[in-house]
Amino acid sequence: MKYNYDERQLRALCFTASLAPVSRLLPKATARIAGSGSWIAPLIALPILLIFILLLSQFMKMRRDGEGLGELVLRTGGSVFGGFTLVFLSAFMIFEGGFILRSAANRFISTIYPAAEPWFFIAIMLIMGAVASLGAVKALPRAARIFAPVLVAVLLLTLFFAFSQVEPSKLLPISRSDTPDLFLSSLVVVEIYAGMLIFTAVLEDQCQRRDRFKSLALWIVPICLLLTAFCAAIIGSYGADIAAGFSSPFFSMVRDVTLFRTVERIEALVAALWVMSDFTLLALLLIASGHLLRLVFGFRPEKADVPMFSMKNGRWLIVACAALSAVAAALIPADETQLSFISQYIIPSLSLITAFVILPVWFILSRRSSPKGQFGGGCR
Amino acid sequence: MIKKITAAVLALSLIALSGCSGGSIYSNYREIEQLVVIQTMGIDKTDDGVCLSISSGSIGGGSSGSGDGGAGDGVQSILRMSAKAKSLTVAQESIQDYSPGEQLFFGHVNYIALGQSALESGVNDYFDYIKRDTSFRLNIPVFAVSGGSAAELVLGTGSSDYDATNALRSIERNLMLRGDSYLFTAAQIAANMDANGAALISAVRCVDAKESDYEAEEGELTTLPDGYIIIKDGKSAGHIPFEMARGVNILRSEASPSSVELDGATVQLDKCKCEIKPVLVGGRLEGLDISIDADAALAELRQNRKPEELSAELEAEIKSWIVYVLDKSVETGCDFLQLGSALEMQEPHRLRGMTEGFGGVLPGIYYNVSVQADISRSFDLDIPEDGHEV
Repeated sequence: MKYNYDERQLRALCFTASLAPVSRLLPKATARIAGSGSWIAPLIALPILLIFILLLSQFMKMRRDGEGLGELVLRTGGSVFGGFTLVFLSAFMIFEGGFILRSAANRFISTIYPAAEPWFFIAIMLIMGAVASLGAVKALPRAARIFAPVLVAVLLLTLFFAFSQVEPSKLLPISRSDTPDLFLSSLVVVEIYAGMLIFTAVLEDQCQRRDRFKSLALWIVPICLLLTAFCAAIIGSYGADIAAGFSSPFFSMVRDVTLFRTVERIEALVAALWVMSDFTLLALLLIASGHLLRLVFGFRPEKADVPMFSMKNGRWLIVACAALSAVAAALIPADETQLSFISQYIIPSLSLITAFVILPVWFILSRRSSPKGQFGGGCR
Repeated sequence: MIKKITAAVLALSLIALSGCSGGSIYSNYREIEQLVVIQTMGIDKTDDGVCLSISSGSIGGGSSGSGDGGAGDGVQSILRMSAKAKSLTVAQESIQDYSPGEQLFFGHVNYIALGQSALESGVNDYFDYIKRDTSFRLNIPVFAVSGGSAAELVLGTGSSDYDATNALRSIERNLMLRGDSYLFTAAQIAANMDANGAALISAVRCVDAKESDYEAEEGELTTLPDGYIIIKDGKSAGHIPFEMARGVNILRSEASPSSVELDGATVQLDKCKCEIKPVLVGGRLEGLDISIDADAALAELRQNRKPEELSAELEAEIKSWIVYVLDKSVETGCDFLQLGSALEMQEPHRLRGMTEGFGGVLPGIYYNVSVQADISRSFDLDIPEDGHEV
């Protein structure tokens, strides 16, 4: 079959989409749990993520050509159990889509447009996400390949200048007794990337994977190192207490970054660039949730390009997902406390349950219910 | 048909991309020439609230406020204003109401000064305000006005040509060059207070400008560095005078070249390396061994002094600064130097919790201070080996 995008584009999609929750949760949530030592949380998360990637790779080995995560779950679980799982996953994605709409609007308000109303930002983001999800799926991973280096460059440049403010005494010491808290804080990183890997696995129906574990393992290592530097720069500049208290620690840090004493107050520019991440994540969630619901309702999501506004073959479900995300955004309380609770507890819990309960259960059940050698139709 | 409709909608959407001003989503947008950029802000405590003082800075001091005055001829006047209110936010709004010019812009505040009354009543609320308000950066230096008000500093310093911003900028540069004192930023002060409830704020005092400038106008003030104000539990707990402030820098291992007056000579302290080691007996902290290795250059020689005599005198001088600062820490019962954090980094297991608790431990331990000073160079003249007749 013809593949519409490659592994690198999918990894770029995963990374770009992950930066929205990263900027929201790191190191705010980790510092709340583990204090000044939490900057190493991404490093502790690395082995856990590798285990998850191994698990996901083993499960996805069972897919046949042209199948993504959704098709695989439906085939191995049947229309009842598989369908139920897919409905759960798509509901989670729709809810997270609604949350992204709300939190992205809040970030704009808190960093650039104080006292502005969120609805304009929500509406624009929703239109952008809906248009992207109705268009050709291949456009999103390809766009992410352009977004990812831009965002990495901005991150590296910001961290480079921010490191001049870092004080080692705010990062050290880390003792053995901190281990339980550090482990707990690492789950914040685990849930972000486990969630993103599951979402992008839905889109693998149009992508050929070769050695999945190796490629993803080599991809996640530099990401964890980058996130470690990210957390160290923020905690080392402000201390864990202040970092945990900021609404968006990264953008607060960017406010203090001065480039060669000539350029300052660049937070508006950086916050605006983060729209790329919000947009990518929202579009990914709408595409993936629409894809899963179409499978549940017995449609076969097309691999080829179709007209954007065609509602044939269950494509109205994509519009429904966008509409439901808008409803979720409207229903999610606007205050920071509630948003923090959702981003630090509800979404991570759902993500971790999906990654470490539902996926392993599926994996075990699939292995048991299928005769040996049944799976693995040439894909990895 | 759908393509045509889409094209029409996209074309119409261009109307929304005509910039942020004039009927767009964001009504607070102002053109840069409509802004008065506030560069220095002073905070004082009043009986029923706060007094906020602001100054826009002059052209020579970098990015400046525009204001109304002389906008057409390129000469911009300095805007100095103050307002009293229950809270800083309301005071800010009040100043805006009384402002004769355009929108006051607080996004480029470069210095914040806290008056004596604010320091004595507690600074936590003010730091909360600085951290919370997205206008302010956290890496800006904060000054404490010792024995005076921030309003006096902000409104009284300078003349029609320069203001408190210039004076504070001058202090900042001088201190960076000389290493007499260290300027703590809002982020550092807030983080230190979070860590163990203690912090230092660089102090300044206002003096009559006529003391050094005969052309100064009547009542014109200028600003001088005045050591540090010690903050404990959010309130002022003591003062380290300017002469002793170098002890803080040395203990923080951040000393840079500075002049030291000795009997009959002046030396320039080039390097000063400080090593602090905990003395543990049975796992319990009994004392501190502080060893300082200093390198100095002979800058002036006014009497017949041997190099070893000068070295010994320099050692005694440095030791007096260190002991003074440590005694002050014991006296106030707070670890404003953040020594506990440094000790905990050295002995993370045995000295766990020192970052927070060292202030309480300090009065119960001894400290040995040993200083090794060497006058190793003398600019363009050799060091006289057996003294020098003046």
